[in-house]
Amino acid sequence: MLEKTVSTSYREGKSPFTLSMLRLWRNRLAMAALLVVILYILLALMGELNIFHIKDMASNNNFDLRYMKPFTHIEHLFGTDNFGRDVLSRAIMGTKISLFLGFVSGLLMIPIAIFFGSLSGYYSGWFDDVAMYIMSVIVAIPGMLIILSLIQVAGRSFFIIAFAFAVTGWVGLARVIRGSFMQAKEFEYVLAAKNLGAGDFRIIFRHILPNVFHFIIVRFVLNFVGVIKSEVFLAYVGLSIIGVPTWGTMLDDSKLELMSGNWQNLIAATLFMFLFLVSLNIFGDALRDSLDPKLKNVV
Amino acid sequence: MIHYIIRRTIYLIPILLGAAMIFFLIFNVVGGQDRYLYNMLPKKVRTADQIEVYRHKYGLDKPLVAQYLDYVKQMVTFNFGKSESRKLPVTRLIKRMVPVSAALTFPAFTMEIIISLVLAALCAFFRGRFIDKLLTILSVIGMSISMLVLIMVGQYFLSYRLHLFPISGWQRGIYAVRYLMLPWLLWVTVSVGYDIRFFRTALLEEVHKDYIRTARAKGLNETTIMFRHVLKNAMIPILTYVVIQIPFLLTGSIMLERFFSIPGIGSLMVTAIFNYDLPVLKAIVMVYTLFFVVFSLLTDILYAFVDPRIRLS
Repeated sequence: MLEKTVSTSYREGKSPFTLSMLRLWRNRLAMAALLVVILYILLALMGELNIFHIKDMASNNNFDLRYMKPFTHIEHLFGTDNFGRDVLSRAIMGTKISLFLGFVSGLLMIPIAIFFGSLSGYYSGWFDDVAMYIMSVIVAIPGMLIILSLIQVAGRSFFIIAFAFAVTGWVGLARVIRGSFMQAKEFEYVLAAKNLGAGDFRIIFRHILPNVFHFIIVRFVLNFVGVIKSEVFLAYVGLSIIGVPTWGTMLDDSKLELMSGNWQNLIAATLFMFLFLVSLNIFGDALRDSLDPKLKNVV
Repeated sequence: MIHYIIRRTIYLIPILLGAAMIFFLIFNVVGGQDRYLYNMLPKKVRTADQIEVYRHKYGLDKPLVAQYLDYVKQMVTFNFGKSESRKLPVTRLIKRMVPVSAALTFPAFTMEIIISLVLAALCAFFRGRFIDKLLTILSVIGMSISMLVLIMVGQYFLSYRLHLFPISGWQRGIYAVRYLMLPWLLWVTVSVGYDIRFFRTALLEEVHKDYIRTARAKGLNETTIMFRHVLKNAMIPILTYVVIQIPFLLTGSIMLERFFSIPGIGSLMVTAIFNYDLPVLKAIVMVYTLFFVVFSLLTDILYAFVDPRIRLS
């Protein structure tokens, strides 16, 4: 008797997500951008942990050191502001606020968008009508009016501002999710899952949601860009968070300092914001391109 | 088609009611009426009995439902009463300021759309080549600079140092152009980056379609393909993108208007929020919502009009 041993060496296929992450990994520009973003996170962490006295220098007033010019002193690289606070430290502390604001508003926004988007796309009955109605109402009011009034009425605290961004921001994402759900529920794999006895909950969250997840990730990344820009706007009209240094408040402070030749706030905040936003834009775009299944065959 | 338009027009009513409701909730429920009443009053009359007088005058002693119905009544008659901080009827205030905002936004918007369309067409035509890469990089850079920075630096150098434009201010009539030049320039600089990217994507999506390959295979030259086929078909997303932005133009640019002291809707809106000038805000919400719904309906009709594959139902 001959016993044939079957060779069991086979290669497991890679999941689409792994493939897209590989595509992203090969994109050098995107990886550089991601590195910059990570550096920003570390910088914010350093500020928060008060390494090199960053936190102290950002908040301690020292009137002997008012308006030091940038790039002249090694211990105050970007100079000092009106109150003698170190501008570089303030920009670093501003990084923390920007990161948190983007993160928290994203976390608040995504569950709302998933809830309304997925259920209204999947069921398309009365719930769809209600959800679409809510969305069209929110879109039909100027977003800035909602944000500004909410902050004015409820106070200039961190969570109110994050909440205000989330309230106006979820609609776009929910619409995209709804659209994909409407398409996806006609596909065979959903039918197959249904025939195998899967409940609606399982179909929505286990089967369809992973297919729209790339929209959510990309939106989460690009949400930072929108939030940081809006924060500048809030600071300009005087509704940013009270009592903490943010990039917006720094820019707003520099509004009156330019005439007296004090550019330090403007330079530091612009530089910090610009580099961060460029990196986020580049990384967000690359992420979208690599996760988009339509572009699979390009690489 | 007509059926669709009528149905959408009727749908305007619940949207307006909903917008009013959200606004009502923010100011009267989240904020609390006493606070809003207190802040709305001029400093001189902030005494307990004066507050009661005003409470009655604005109908704030009624139940919330009745107050909301009052608001609805104001919307239907388009009579929002007098602005408390400006001492003028709101309707007249809005009528006076919409043209100012429009004078700021419409020319800037038109210029910017034309410029970015031309540049995007250039990108799509020379895709992958030097000029495409350069413009893409420039638009990412443009997208990453805060508008406030551009405004400050622009005003400092162009107005304050080089005296090319007046620093800020406003004059009625044709002289307004003098004050609008720099805001227009800044508007174009800020938004051209976004729009180049959008238009470029819209154009490139067409370039990769099958019928373009067919056109190329039958020997058409690249210029004909670009202008006869690609541009024509890419017009569908571009047109909707442009039309849907028109309502935003009417609320003006808050930042530009405040920075250059242009008396438009945007700056009116911000001061109204600070002064709790509810009559003004109510009117702005209504005007904007109205325009938004009308223009999104217009977009849909336009969509069906330029693309026969789409049928409205």
